[in-house]
Amino acid sequence: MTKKTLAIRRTVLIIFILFIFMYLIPYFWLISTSFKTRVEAFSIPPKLIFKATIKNYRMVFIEKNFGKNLLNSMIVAFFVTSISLIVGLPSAYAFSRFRMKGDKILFFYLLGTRFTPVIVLSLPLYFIMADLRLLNSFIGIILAHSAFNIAFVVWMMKGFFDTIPKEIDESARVDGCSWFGSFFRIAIPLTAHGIAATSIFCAINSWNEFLMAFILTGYKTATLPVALPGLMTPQGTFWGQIAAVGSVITIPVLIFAFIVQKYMVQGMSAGAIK
Amino acid sequence: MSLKVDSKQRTAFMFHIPAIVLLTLITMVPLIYNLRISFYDFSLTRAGSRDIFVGLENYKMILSDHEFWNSMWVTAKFVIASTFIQLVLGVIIALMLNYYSGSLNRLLTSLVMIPMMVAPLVVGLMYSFILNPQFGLYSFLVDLFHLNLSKTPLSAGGSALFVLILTDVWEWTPFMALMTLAALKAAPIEPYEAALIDGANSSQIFFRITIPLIRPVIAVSIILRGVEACKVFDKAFILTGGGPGNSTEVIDLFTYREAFVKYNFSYAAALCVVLFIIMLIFGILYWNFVIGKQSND
Amino acid sequence: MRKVLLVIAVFCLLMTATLLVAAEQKYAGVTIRVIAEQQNPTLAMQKQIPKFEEITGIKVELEIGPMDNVVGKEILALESGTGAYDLISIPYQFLGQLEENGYLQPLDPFLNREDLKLEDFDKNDLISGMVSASGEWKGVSYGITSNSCIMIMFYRKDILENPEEKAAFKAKYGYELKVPVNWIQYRDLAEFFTRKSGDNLMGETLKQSFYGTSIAGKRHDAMTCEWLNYAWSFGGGIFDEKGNLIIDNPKNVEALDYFKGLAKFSPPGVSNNTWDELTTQMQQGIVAMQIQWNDCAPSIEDPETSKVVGKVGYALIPKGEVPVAHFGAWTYFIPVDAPNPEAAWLFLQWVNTYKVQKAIALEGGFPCLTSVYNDPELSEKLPYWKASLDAYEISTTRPRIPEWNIMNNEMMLELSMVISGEQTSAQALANLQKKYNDILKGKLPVTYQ
Repeated sequence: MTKKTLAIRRTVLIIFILFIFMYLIPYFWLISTSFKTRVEAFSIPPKLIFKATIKNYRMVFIEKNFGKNLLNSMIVAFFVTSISLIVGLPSAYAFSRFRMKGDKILFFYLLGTRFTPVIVLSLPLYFIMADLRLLNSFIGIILAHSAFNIAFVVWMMKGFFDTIPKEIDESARVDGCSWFGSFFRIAIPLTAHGIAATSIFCAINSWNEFLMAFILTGYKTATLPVALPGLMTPQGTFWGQIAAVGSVITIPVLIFAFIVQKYMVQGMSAGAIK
Repeated sequence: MSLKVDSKQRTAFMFHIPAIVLLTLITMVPLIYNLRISFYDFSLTRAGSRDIFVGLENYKMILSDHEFWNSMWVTAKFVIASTFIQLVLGVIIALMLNYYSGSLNRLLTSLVMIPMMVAPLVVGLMYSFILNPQFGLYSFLVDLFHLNLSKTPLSAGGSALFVLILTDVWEWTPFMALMTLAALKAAPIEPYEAALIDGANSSQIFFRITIPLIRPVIAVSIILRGVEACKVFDKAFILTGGGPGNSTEVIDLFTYREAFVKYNFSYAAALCVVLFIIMLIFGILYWNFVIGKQSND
Repeated sequence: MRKVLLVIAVFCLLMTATLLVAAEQKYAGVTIRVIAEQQNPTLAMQKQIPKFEEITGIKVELEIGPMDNVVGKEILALESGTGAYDLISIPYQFLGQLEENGYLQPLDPFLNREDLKLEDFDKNDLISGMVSASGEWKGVSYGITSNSCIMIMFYRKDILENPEEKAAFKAKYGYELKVPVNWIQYRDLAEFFTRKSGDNLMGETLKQSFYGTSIAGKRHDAMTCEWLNYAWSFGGGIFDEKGNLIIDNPKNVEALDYFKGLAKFSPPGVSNNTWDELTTQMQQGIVAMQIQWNDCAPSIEDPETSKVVGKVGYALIPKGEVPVAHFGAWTYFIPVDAPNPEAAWLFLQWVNTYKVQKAIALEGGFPCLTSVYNDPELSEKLPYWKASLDAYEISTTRPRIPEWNIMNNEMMLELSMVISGEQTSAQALANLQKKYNDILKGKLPVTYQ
């Protein structure tokens, strides 16, 4: 590489980094606002350097009981992930290993669930859950989120299962292992990383979701995003607290996403790219 | 031989059963419920209306509903503009990321990933705060740089829609970028080597080799994003509420309003059916692209 | 003999005492489910609930949430008749709809039951005008006011009393600067006090712009609530005395033009404003006057969040052809499918006792009891008290017919298009006239609201 090319590369890099930095300013602004007092948050010119305080966090999570909403989000995400895995993994394996009559239809159906606008399912679920008296309970929202995530699990895990050579299955079968045994004792351990990544995606999808949770949860079961608009009251909007909750909603997701960065593309493309 | 096939079929079916059951309960049943309610006149403001059968009346009303068409038009504008901008920006970012490798690449990719991971509702609130005319960052910057821009973009129809598009672009361009990056990385090296031997310059390489190679992925991304753009509810809800007027009333916000603000449940159910059919068409398009692509490989 | 009589007397006394106690304790162990809006008065009431549980042994499960959420849940619960709630609090304009659908239990049977009377509850202490507006339909009482509020005018009294401003105002407009009592004065003040950064206000240079007023212009309930004041005040309104639709009346057009005209004296971005933003702007000290709900006043007087504590005055809304004050309320109703209506009734009485209402008033709520209303401690402590009382005297209620919800929604849409400049006032109101005619087909004239 010539010196000129190196210089060009460096310049481009600097411009790119600046661009990314500016791109992310709104998000940094959110985080910093969560640590500002109300006076400082509203000051003009906006303050870059200020005295950080955790008052907003304390007010909203303890006094306004958003800690309960945090717990609700965690409960829902946990159960959604578990159910999605339990239901999705076998199906993904079956898509990888078998050709069943009608599995194209099933695959297409799974695709459909990902494409369905949330409101199309939320409206009838609202009624069905109300009739079953499950409206403000965890069951409704957990089942609903799980249904959306199954397609995701199937797509992601099919790709991972596909990477296990069929010969391993064959030799296991020759040794007298059933399909279920092969699934459980070979496929799953070999794709542990993939499963971990998939679980994290499931959890993130559920954690961030708003509309369905808004419609199906109630006062006691509201997740963090659902409780968030409650901070905009006729008596004033508590921006510092909103920023605090926003930060708590996003930071765990970022940490986990960073961990599964490698599988990010696989997760998003879900079958589009080999 | 046939015995083995049968038992394999059965095993496959057993593996699929939990998924089939759950999906039927949580998606198939509600969809049928939607269809059923859409043939009635159910509105919470009128007791007993749950049982008044009106056939296709709701669908006729949709076709003649001026606000429905406005909403579709707004959604169309939004989806096309948003997807297009994300595409261009995403490809550029992907090319930039591809330029660098190793741990630098990992770091940059992590940073680029951030907006995608922020909950859409939080994105909406974030921009809401920044755009506050009195103490928002945007207002301050407009003053600081003496820009000839309105300080209240959310007050005018055109600019409010633009803001919505901008927030969507901000959130999802990383998606396009990462998809394109993956395609770039998966691209075979031979065409490039051959081109270099033939003496092609970089712009020729880009347009005649790179673009065709990543085209399938781009197409898929467009469709995926196009469909998911219709799910912009969270941001629209919290940023503009559909206003000013109805200039940002995207279709799922419109449906929500009919159902949960006006309580016209049957009408909303009919809207849901229509929406579902539209998405189905998109799904078929996607299917053709993916299956078509896979059969071409 | 005397001893026997004594024993019998003591026994009777004991029995009576048990019976008296029993009224309260009759439903001990029962749990009632109450749902209400997430607002300061509700939260204040929530703090008092342990006392109720002590007195009656009834456990209260209170569900609260933001308005849209709560109303949706309530209406669905009532429609499905599953007995989800024993007591609901819902905005009073839903009364017509709920009554016509047969969802509510009349209260008179409960009022007449001596065995269910709570000790401290005095039905004669209820402010009858307020209670009938909130809960009476065609002569039958269904509910008692839960949270009430009324629209008044907030103004910066420090600015209005400033001698420099007074002199400058008199020089420009030819009359004394004082609290505006009609719309012409209101507009003059709004115009006078709209100043840019760098201008003078009360002798000091402004670091940021200052505005005469601020209006709620978002496509939202806040806007229609505010605009109705102007409409009624200008002599317009939705129905005339005979119940005919008059929404496209020229007086309404005038009122809408006036409302829109105030936008230029408001901080930019009026189409984003709901009560929320108006309160924040007042708290930040950048606005001189507002037409606002009195239950936002406590936030203005909150030293934690407001820069103008003690500087704001409260008065009646300026008078047009008639004086008006838009009355708002949520009302407690007992659904027909309530599993424990008697226990709910005990709770409903308890909420309307002096102690509880006063506690709620001290935290920003407004009572429906005359005794609390007139309590001197409150008038002393709360600067917005007197204006509120005066306003309640002239309360103007919005229609409570079943169609109101949809009509309100249409009004939000048409009005917001006027604010954004997409159509004229005349056009908007003509549209509304047509839409309302469709919505109310067959029900006009609306003789009862």
